[in-house]
Amino acid sequence: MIDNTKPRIANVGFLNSIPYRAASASEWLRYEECEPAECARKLHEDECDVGCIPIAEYLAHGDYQLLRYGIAAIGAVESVLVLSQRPLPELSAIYVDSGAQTSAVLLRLMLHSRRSEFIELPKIFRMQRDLGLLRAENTHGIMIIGDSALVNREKFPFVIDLAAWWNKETGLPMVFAGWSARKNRLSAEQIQSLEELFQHGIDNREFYAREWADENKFDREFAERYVRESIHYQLSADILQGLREFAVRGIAAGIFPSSCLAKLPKETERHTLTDRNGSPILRIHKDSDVDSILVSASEGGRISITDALRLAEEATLADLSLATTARRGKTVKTDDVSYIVDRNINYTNVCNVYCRFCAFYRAPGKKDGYTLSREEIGKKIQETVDAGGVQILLQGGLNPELGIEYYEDLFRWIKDTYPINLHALSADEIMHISRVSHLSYEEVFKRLIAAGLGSFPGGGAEILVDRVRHRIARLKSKAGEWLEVHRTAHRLGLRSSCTMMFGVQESWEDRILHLHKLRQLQDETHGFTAFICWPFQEDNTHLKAGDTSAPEYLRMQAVGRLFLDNIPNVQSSWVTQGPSIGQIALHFGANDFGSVMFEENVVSAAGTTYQMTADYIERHILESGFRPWRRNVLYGTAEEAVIPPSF
Amino acid sequence: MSSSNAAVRIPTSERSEGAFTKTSALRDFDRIQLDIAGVLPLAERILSGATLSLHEALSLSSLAFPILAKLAELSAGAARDQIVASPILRPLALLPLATLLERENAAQVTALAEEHIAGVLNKVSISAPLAVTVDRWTGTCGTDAIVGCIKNVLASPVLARRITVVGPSTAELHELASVSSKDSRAMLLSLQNEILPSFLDAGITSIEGGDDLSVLLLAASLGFEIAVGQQILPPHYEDGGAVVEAKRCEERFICELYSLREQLTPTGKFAVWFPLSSAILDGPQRKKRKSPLGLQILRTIAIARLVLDKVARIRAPYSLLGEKVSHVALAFGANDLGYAAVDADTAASLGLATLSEGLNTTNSHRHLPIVSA
Repeated sequence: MIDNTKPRIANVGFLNSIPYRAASASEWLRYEECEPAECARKLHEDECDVGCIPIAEYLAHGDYQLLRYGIAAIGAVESVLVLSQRPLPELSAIYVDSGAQTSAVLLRLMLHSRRSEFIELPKIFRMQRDLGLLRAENTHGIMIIGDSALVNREKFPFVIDLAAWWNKETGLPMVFAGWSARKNRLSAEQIQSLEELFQHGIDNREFYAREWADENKFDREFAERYVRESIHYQLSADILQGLREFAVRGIAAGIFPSSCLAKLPKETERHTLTDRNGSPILRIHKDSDVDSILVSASEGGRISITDALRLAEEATLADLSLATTARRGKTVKTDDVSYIVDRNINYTNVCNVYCRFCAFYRAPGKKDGYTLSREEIGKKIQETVDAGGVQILLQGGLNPELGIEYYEDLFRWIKDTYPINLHALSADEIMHISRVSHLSYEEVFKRLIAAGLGSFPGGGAEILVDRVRHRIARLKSKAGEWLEVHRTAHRLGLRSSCTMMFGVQESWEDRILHLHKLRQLQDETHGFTAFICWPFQEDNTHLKAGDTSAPEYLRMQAVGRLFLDNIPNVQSSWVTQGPSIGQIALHFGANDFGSVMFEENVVSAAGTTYQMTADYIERHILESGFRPWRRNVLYGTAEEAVIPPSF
Repeated sequence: MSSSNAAVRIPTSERSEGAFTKTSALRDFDRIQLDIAGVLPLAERILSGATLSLHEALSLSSLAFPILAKLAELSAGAARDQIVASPILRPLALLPLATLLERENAAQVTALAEEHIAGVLNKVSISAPLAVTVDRWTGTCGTDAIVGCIKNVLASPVLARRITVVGPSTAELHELASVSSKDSRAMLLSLQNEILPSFLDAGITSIEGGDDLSVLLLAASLGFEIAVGQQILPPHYEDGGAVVEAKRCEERFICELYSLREQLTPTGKFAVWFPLSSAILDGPQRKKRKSPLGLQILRTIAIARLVLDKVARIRAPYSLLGEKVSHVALAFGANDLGYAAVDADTAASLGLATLSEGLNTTNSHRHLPIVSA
C-alpha cells in the first residue's frame, strides 16, 4: 500500500541524474523517475513535493525552494546537443526534443546572440524526439537531450554542444536542472536528509553509472567518465553565477519574469548584462509584492507563476483594470476594439466523451442526437453570408460515425460554394478524426487544410491540468495532447485561438498553470491569435460550479491578459456574461468583443442565452470609449480574405 | 437558508471584492498610473478626506474607467472610518395592506398583517429587522387607514423591533399630496403638515427613492432618513434631434448629484444613494436604446462614491442592475445591494430576486461580508 504521508520526489531518468537515484533506497520517500519536463509538470501540479526540474521552470515559477543540487556543466555537457547533416548557419529548422525546457530556452538565446551569422534564423519546432530524429536531414537539425543525445551524436557530422557554446560565450557554467521543493512541504531536517542522500549518490556516482550502463547495455567506461567529468551536481556559488547570467539573458529576451532574480541565492548577485555605458539593461524588481508585480506587468514585463497567483489573490479589481489597460496599450491599438460577424454551426451533437460540464451532447444512438444535412448547413451559411458574415465556426461532438472523408467533403463543398472562412473543429475533434481514420495529427491537418480549413478554434482547453480534466471530462484529451494538437497546427502555419473554461472547482494555481502552458507554447510557435476565458455554466450539467461570478470572471480575464504577454488579443465573453459585463471586460484587458453569433447551442444548452446584433455590439464598444471595427479571424479587417496555409 | 446567513456578518473571505481596506498612502503602481492620467493631486486630496468641489467633480467625466475606478476605491478606503464599508443586502417582505383593507376592517387587517409577517419571520429565521413594504399607499380605503394599520403593526409586541417599514418614494408622496391639490405649493404644505407627520407618527422614518429635491429636503427637515434614487440617462437623442453624448450626459448627472449633495448633506439625513434606470440591465425587458449600459452604471456608482463622501451607502440595487453588475459595483464604490425578497410571493410581486438567490450569489463565492438590516 502507498504511504501517502511520505514526501514524493521526482528525479530525471537520464544517466546525468543517476547519482540522485540514491534517494530511491530511502524508506521515508516515494521516488519516481521521469523526463525533465514531466518532473516540472508534476511539481507544478502538486503530484510531487520535490523535483529535479528544468531550471527554466524554476525561474518561471518564482516560489520554489532551490536545493543545493542539480545538473550543471562547466564547458561541454555531452548530452545537450544540436545534431545536423549541415553546418548550423545552413539550417532552416531545428526540431527540439519535447522533453527539454531549459535547453530549448538556451538554444533560443544562443541563436539570437549569434544571429549575425545567419541569413535567416532557423525555425524551432518542438517535437517528440524519435519523430525529430526521423526528420533531421538536409537543412533540418535536431536538438536532443539526455541519453538519446549520448547515443545519437555519432550519427551526425555536425554536433554542437550547447553547454560548451554557452561557456565559450559567457565564460560561465550552465545550470540545466535544479532540485526544487514546493514551499513548506519538507521540514528543514527532511531537506537536509535528502541532500545527504544526494551527496551519498554523488560520492558513489561511478557505481550508479556502472549499474545504469549494465541495465542499458551502454559503455561502462563512458558512463563513469560522463558522470565524473561532464556533470556538476552541487550548485555552488560559482555554478550559480551561470544560472544568474542565464536568468538575466532570459529576462532580457522576455522569456523569464524579472522577479525571478530576487529568488536566486544571494551569492549570485553579480550583474553581468549591461549596455555600452555599463548601465544595467534590466530594471530588476527586487520584491514580489503586489505593487511591484503590478508595476512590472503594466510596463510589459513578464510575470512568474507566483506573481500571477499573488495578483489573483491580492490585487483589487481596480488595480487589475488599471494594469491591464496599461498592458493592453503596449500590445494592440489602445483605442480600438474589434468584433467579428460569424455563425456558430454545431454540425452534430452526437458525442462519445460524456463530459460532465456539457449540456449539449447526446450519446450515440440517442433519439435526439443529430447530424446536420448539407442542406441545413448550407442554409445557415447563406444566412450568414447575406448578413455580412465572414466566417463559420464549425464545431460538434465526437461522432464515431464521422471519419476524415466526411470533413474533407464538407469543407470542400463549403469552400467551393460560399466565400467564407472555415474556422473549424477543436483539438478533441482532430484527435477523434486521427483515431477514427488512423492518421497522425499532422496528416489530419494537412488533409483538412487542403480541403479548406482556414483557422482552428481553441475550444476544449477547459483547464489544462490533467487532475482537473480527469474529474470533469474523464474521456477527453489530456492537457499535453490538447497542446500537441495546437503545436501541430501552428507548425503547419495554421493559426488558432486558445481558451479557458474555469469555475469547475479548480484552484487559482491550476488556472495559472493553464496560462503557463499556453504561454510556453506561444513562446515556441507564436500561433495563438487570441485568448478567451469564460466561467462554466452549470444548468443541465452534472457538475457543480465553483466561483463563476462576474468579479471572478473579470479577475480571471485580467490575470490572463497580464500573464499571457505574448498573445496579442483578448476576447471578452458576452455570450456567457451578458452584454454589460462583456462591455466592462473591455476595461479588464479585452480588446475584442467576440462575435455577432447568429446561433449558439452549447452555452445556451447550459441555460445562458444572450443575443447581440452588430449595432448593439458597436454601441457597447463606443460607449466604452473605444472605436469598433470588424475583423477576420486573423485580426485583419473583415474584408481581408483568410488564406489557408500551403506546404 | 440559515439564520446566520441572513442576519449575521458572514466571515470575510481571504479576498473580499466589496470590503475596501483602509488606505493611507498611494503605492508606486497607483502613483505611476494616476500621474500618467494627470490626477495624482486629486487622488491625494481624496486620500486626505477632502470633499470634491464642483470643478473637481466635473473633471471626473473626462477620466477613463480604470482611473475613475481606482479613485473610487481610494475614496471608499479613505472614508472607511466615516462610512460603513461592509456591503449589505436587506431582506424584504411585501405586506399587501391596501389590498387587505379593501376586503377587511382595520382590526382584522392588523391581525392578518401581524400573522403574515410573523409567519415570514419564522419561516426564514431572520433575527435582524425585516424590511417591509406595502403594496401601495393609496386605495379605496384611504392612506390614513394604511398608515394607521402600519402604526398598529409596528406597535405589536410580537413584531416589536423585528421589522422596519420602507417609506414611500418622492413620487409616491407626490401622488398622495396631489389627492388634495394639484398646486405644488399646496402639495408641499399638505406633505409638511399632514402626510409626513402622520408617517412619522406611525413609525415610518425613511423616504425610499426619488430625486425631487424639494420633497427630500422637506422630509429630511422633519427627521426622515433619505434614500435618493437618481435617474441615469444614457446617451440619447433629445426632442430637437441633437445627440447628447456620453460625456455630456455624465456632466449633467454630476451637476445634479452635486446639487443633491450640497442641499441634502447638511440635513444629516442623506443616508443612501442609488442609480435608477428605465429598464433592467441585460434582462428581457431591456429597451436597447433607452437604458444605460453596464459601464455607464458602474461609472455613475464610482462618481457617486467620490462626490458623496459623507453618504454612508452607495447602493447598486441587485433587483434593478442584476446580479452581475451589482456584484461588480461593490468593487467600485458601492456598499449596498438593496433589497431581496424573503419569500416567493414578494419576489413575484415586486420582481425582486429572492434573498436566498442574493446570498447564494454573493456568499457562495465567499467574497462578500453581508450584514442584513
